[in-house]
Amino acid sequence: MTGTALDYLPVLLGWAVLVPLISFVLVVLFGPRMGRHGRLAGYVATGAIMISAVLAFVSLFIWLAVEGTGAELLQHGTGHDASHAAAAEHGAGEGAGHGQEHADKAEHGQSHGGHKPRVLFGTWYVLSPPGIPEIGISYYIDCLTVVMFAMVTLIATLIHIYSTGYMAEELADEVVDHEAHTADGRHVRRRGRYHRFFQYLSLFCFSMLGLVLSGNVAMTFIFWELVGVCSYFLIGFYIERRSANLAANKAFIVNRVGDFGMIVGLMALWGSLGTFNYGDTLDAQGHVQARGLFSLIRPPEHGHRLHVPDGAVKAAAAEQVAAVVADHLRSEGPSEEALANAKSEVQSRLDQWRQEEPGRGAYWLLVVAGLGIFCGCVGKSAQFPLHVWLPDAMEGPTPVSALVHSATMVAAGVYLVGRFFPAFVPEVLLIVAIIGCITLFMAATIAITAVDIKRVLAYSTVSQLGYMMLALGVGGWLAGLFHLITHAFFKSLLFMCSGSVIHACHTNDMRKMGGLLKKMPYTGYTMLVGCLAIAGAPFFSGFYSKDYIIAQTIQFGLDNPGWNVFYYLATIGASITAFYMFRLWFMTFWGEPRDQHVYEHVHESPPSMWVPLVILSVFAVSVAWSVPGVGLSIESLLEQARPAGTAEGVGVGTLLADLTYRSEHLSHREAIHAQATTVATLAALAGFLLAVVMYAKRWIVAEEVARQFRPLYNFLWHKWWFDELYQAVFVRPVHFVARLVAQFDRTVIDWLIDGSARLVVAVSTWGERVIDRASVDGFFNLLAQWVYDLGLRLRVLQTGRLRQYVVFIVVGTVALFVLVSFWTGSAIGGR
Amino acid sequence: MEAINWHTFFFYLFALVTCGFALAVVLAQNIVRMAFSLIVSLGASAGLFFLAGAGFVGAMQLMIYVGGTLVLLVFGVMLTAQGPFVSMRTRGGEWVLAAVVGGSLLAVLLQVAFRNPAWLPGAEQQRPLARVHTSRLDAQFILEARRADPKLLGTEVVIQAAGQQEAAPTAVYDPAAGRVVITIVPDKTTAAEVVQVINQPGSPLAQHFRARLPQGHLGLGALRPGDGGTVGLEAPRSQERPARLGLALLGARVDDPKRSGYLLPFEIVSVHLLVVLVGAAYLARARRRAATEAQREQAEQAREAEVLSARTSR
Amino acid sequence: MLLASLFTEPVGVAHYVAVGAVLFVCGAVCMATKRNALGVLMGVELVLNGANLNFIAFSQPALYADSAWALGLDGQLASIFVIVLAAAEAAVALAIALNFYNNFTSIDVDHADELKG
Repeated sequence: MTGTALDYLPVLLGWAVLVPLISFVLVVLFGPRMGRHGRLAGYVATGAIMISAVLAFVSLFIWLAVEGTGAELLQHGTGHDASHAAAAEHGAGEGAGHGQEHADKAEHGQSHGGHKPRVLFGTWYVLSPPGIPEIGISYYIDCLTVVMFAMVTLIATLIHIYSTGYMAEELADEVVDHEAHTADGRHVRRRGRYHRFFQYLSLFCFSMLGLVLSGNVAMTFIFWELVGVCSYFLIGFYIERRSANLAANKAFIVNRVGDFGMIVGLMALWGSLGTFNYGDTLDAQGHVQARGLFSLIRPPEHGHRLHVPDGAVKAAAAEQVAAVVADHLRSEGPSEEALANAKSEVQSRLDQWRQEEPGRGAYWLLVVAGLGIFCGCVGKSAQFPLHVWLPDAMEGPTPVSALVHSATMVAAGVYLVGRFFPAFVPEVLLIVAIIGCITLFMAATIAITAVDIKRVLAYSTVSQLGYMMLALGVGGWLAGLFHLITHAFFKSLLFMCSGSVIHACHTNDMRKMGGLLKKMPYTGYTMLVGCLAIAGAPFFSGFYSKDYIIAQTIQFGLDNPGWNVFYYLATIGASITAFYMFRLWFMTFWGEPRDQHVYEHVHESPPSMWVPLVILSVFAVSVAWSVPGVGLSIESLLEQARPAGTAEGVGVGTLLADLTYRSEHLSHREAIHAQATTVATLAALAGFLLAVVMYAKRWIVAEEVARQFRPLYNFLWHKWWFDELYQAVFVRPVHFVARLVAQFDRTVIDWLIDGSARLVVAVSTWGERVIDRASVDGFFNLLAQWVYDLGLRLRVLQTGRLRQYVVFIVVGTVALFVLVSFWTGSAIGGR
Repeated sequence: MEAINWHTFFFYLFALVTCGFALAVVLAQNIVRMAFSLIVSLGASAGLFFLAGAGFVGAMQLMIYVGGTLVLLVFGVMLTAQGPFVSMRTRGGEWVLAAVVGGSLLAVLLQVAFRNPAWLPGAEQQRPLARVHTSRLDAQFILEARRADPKLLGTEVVIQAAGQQEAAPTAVYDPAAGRVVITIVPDKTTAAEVVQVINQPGSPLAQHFRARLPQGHLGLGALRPGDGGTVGLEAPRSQERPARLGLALLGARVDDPKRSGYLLPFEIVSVHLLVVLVGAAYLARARRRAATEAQREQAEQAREAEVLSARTSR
Repeated sequence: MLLASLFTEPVGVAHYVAVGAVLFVCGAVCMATKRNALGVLMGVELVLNGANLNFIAFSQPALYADSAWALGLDGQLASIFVIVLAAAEAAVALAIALNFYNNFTSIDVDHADELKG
């Protein structure tokens, strides 16, 4: 690979990752001393993320300059869909031919379906000793990485700026927390923690960027956990509030459940593939030295189609392998050659095994690996069984909700599914789609009844994440990640708007708001933009990405008859989304103020807060547009990163034989697209109109509806009883067992220990009285008394008279001589 | 009548002065007289040092002790010589006690000094010229001089074994190597025999050596066998040469080159002395003026009170 | 006769040692009887000088009946060290005496009994 400007990307992005870490270290060490109340800490953290953003955008421009916009790929897909579909079917025949092309892997897009994304993979530092599969600090940069970097750093920068305004009340020696109470019922008073907030934000940015950049699964997992820890810190930022503590713990523990599955998945991956690296390790000449896991699962010589890897087959065929080795050892005797022969025979029989029973086991290994990794993503992205933590996480400061719990961290799960997309077998993708679909529908319905402004947004986040998962699950790689990007912008915008509202009202409860548009125009209108974007109003960013998703579900329904349910639920979800978003907006900004006291205190937020809102609203509108002329758009960029072999469809299921994933480009056909656009727009319009009728015009009174559908309302109000269910199924039994064990501890073990302690005390008391006091003390006291008496007597000799001492010396000398002469007969021996 | 041994004469002279003035130091009551007596006593002991061949030490005694230390003492006397302290009486009982104790110590020490036969002087003729330090002898001895002495090495030495002509050791001077080679017959001559030959009063060899060994050549030449055994030769008693110690202090031992000089101890002692002097100067510095002022005031008040009380009593 | 033989006979180490013993005893008695601190100091000097004389005598082989016993230069060196030490000691002792004098306005060592047992 000759040197291009792309060679600078690892350095640029590496520094973009490290700068927030430096900021974190600085703020940790010197935070409280950074200006008054740590004000400078905010500037340090903001400056750091700005530097990262600049680096990320420089990288993006370098990418564009070297690789182009990728518009032709998109044109290729949409324009010639029929021929493309044919090409996809021919892909199997051409497979062997692609193997040769793999050597000059840097080149891209030579042929149909054989398009291979430009990937920069390398290792900065190898942790594992030589000889075992490599684990190190490595990077994996493709267009998705670059785009994620740009998105994360841009939003993070804006949120940092916003936070300097939002968290300004922490800039005081004493902060009164109105929501936390001391034991005697007063409000908690504490020192301001401005710097600490930014310290966590910096750490979070470092972790998130590291997660995006990381080049192997182990590193991904480490940053994954770091992100989780930061989330824990930030949710529990107001540690004095019990609810914040509980929410932080809940988030952390629920994520542990997901991460357990992820570890299982990692073990399955390691066991079947023997490597954690994403990309292929190249030597100096550009030849593949060691394959990464993507090219192991989708080997180039098989046309990048799913192929059960040798390692997995060997792992599944352990018995057969052992039999072969035993045969050879028996017939040739124990020698190196026998082992080598056995090895070659195993190698030659792998293909046969792959067709037989062991091949099925190996396939199951891949399924387990995929499900495990998806399990981690379920936790992090708050998908259906593990979604309960995200709404509670709104206890953290609102910028945290905007950055961590809407735009970046929760998107990390979707990102990881996108990253592992080529490694997921169709069955896994189907489960991803099912989970995503359930999530999107369930969360959307819960959001209808929520009255806490941030909770509505939180459930909408869960729902939108469900959309992304659904998109990925039905094979819409581009659709899911596209929605990830657009959603990040409008959801952070919405959260920051809600933060601005909360900042002004000092309450989260929408029932106390209303009519705020007059007092907070910037916030109100930017939030309207956000609502339109998320609802999928035409020409807003959400419109485009949601279209892609619905189109993909339609396509999936066509390919797999009977799975139209995704299409229906996604459409209903779109409608509900529009409804609850406008419900939120009308309740907050429209109509008459419901709480006069709150209304009077409302004021527009400072510029440091609304300027980012305006900037973000511009992005929320336009991020999905393509630059006219050059055809540059987010889609085109993402299309460049489409994993090799997925352009012509993920493949066909093995366990579920009629499960078919065809090229995503098929969903870009005019017919499907038109249908999707129409249906989605109409659904959104329906939801919008219902909201207008119920909350703006109040022709239908919401409370009456709630009364009429009391059981349904209760069901939604209690969030489908999920918390109660978990409480009953998991928490209660655990508490019960814990109480049982504690009881055992208290009665049996404590009794034993107390008894033995009492015994020891008794023995030692007796020993002290008899042995210590009487014998030992008595002896030493006697000795001391003797020494003391002797000293008393001898002190008489110390007359203090110098001359007497001289006489003593002389007398002593003479005495010595006399004594010696007694001994030897003469004073000095002689001869 | 034999000739007066001048060494002995001067020894007694200096010893008398030394002891006499030391006694004067003890008996004098006046501190100034004591100091004077001490000076004389120490000066005379320096004479004894010269007499014992330690000229360098004697010079140092004069310079440092008499010239330095005692001047320091005299200064001390002057600084503290106020009426009542010039002569302080000691009680008679203490004198008696000190005399008894000191006398007994002296008796013991003198007894020790004269009881040891090794410390008594021997008659010059009886003193052996050579002493054997080893019983093993090889075929050849080398008589080496530490300082090349032409008078010694320019002669041919003949050693005759008593009564055994064929086994007689021979000594031949080797001018090229600057040494005398003594040859004996192995296994037939013992070291004791060689020594006996050399030491035999009136033997030509002994006379030869006695005549030719330079004055003050104590143990300078040595019969040295190959394995390091030594037969020492000694010249008649005479004065030491003081320069040898000076050289030794500079690190060169002329009396025994195998042993190291005293340069390092000398330097250590010098530094030690310097440190002590600095310490002494620090100790003797003037006290805080305030304290002395207060003391003086106190003393004046006490004197006034005394005067007052004297008046009232009168 | 005695006097005559006194001067004709050579002197040995023993004679020097005897003189040293006299000096030593004089010094010791001086220390024991003098109340003046400087007198005590002079006694110390006498004692040291007696020791010096012994060292010198021991160093001289010619003073021995058997010269193998002689210390040689080592003895002389020891005496030099003693002289130097004595000088240092005198300086320090004088400083102590002066301090003592300053503090007690007395030079009588009998007053220096603060460390009495």
